[in-house]
Amino acid sequence: MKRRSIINLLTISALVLLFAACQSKDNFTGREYMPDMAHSIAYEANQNTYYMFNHWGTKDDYQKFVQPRTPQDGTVAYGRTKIADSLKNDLTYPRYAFANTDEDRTKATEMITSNALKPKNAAELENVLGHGKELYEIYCSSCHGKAGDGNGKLYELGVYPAAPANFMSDQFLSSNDGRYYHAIMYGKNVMLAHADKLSHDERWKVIHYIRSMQAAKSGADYSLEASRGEKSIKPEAKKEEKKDDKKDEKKGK
Amino acid sequence: MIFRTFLRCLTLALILTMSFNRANAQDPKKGEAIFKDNCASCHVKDMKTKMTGPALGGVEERWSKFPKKELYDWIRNSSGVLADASYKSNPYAKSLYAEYKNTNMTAFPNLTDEDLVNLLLYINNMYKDGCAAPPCKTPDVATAKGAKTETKEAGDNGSMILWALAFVLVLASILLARYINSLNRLAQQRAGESPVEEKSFLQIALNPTVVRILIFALVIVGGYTTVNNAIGLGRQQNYAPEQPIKFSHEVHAGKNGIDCQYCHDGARRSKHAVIPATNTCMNCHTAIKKGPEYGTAEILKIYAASGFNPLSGTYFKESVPTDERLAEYKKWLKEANADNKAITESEISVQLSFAKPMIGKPVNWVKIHNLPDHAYFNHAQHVTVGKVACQDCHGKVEEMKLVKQHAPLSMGWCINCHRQTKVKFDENSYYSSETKSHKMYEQYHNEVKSGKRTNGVTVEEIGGLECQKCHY
Repeated sequence: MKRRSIINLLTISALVLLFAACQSKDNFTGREYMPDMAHSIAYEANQNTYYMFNHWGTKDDYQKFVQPRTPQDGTVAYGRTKIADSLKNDLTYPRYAFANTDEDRTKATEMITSNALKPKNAAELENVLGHGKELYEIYCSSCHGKAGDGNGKLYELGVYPAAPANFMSDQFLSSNDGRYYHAIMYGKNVMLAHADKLSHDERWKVIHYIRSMQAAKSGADYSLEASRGEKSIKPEAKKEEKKDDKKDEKKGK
Repeated sequence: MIFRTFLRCLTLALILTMSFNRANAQDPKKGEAIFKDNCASCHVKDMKTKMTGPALGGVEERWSKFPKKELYDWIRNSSGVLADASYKSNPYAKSLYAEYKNTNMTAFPNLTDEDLVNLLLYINNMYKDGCAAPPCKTPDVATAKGAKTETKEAGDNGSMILWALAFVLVLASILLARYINSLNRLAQQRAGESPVEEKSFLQIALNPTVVRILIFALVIVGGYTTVNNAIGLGRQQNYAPEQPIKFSHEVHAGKNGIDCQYCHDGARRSKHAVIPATNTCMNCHTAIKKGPEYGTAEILKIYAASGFNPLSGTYFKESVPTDERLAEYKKWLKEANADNKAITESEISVQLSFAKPMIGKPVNWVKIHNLPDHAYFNHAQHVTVGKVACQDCHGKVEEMKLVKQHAPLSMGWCINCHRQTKVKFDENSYYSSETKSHKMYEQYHNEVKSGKRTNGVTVEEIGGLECQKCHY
């Protein structure tokens, strides 16, 4: 009787110890049961699905499956095969017409004069600007600043050594949309290409948002006509700026 | 002879005083403004580091061989100097042009001679003294140190005290039991009864009643932990693996305030949040070549993986062998760490040895949040449509040096959230767009409008608990 109870005691404590060592921590993923249910044999993005009972050769073989791959040149994203009529003669869609050279940069700046994304009504413009703002704040604001003044947090903290472009400066105000689009596609100076981060439409949404910020800064209204490229904000904006200056001066006096 | 040396000294003194006077007469602050507006996009402010353009420190010495006017012309319009062979500096200019990937510097025809004098003065001051107008104020060491000392983490003092208390109590009860026992025996002796033989500790411990109680307690405790751990099989909460590069989310997302989605750009548009490829790292690290914690060591690994040559600012061709790349990296490490004496020759070779196996290969990041193959999860659905913050599931990643899995990612955890979370219809283009409207949403909309429904709509009510949404 005594001996049996001692044996019972030992087995139970052994079981407790066994399961106590299952929990994941630090470098240990924890234990699992029936790994075939949990691990994908098929290729999964960003995941090394190799596990102990995998039948797919060595770990090195397996890791070849999980490397990032570049799509074939000219690949069109899923759901992007149909081209809207408004984009038929667009220089930026489905393929960007310019290469990453200084010559093409000036060409793009001259030839792409208006935003390819033309909102149909005020509600759509509001949507575009809202989405553009979200994207701008994710992808641009760390350097170019939330206000577009080239004073983003990274530069302000002194972490980033190069001064980012100030979209509120005269040269950016008067420049064509092509300059922005080309810079997003291929980068400029130390800025690298952000084409992989933003799709065609998203790039234009961001440019819409930058333009609206410029308009707001100079006191102009980013109207539907302006966003469709039917009315330029440039000369008006400059006049408005001068008026503002005069007002300020008067106030100062 | 003496006269000649005297003359030399005199002229030297004259030149020195004159240059001093000139330096005082000019305004380096104006130069600073000009630099910020025109030059800072391509030239680094410390004047010692190359970026898009060369390091500007010592530019006047380098151009001292040529007439001053040529330097001014070069700054105003570099392509003019390159095209015109009558400039004495033409060959030097051409070599510079070739070194910087045949890119022309932007022309600044509006800068006057005075502007340029101010600018060059500013450059010189920054190069030699580290500030626009010397004497420079050195940052207060004491305050800097004070800011750095971190508050020590409060350990689990509380639980330690509890354990100590429990230990003392158990000890006290055992002692008390023994006292009572011996007092009892004394009483029995006085009464004239023969005292019961005192039992040894082993005898007490192996007493069937004690063993039964112990087994019962073990079954309870053991059963509880066994079931708990069995449920936890295959779950990875608290998993915090070391990564091949010591990337700190605390620095990037916390201190520098980079949006999560800047790097994890798939979260808003695909199933995967995406572990970024090295090109995303390079967006910043072509310019930022030193980290605040590990200096060049960790950033070197990105360069090795992406094939970037920080000396020239270009990428190696694929055919360049490992040894050649390592030689370049060694040169760069020496150059970049020249001002840090702590980084010795051996430290550099250690850094190189860690980077060597990573050359030309994708970084083997360890994925932390793994879902089993039979569960479907889509990031875009939660981030873009559901407007769920990253931190809701991943914890405060912006405070983590090493990422740790915050949530259990168990089914119960998913379901619980789906039951409690209210659908965010407001300012949500997914639900407002006409194509996605559905009778169900319309019904809820009317209910909310008529005041019948006050608590909003939970995810459960729009089908968040249907099995085949996640298992199919």
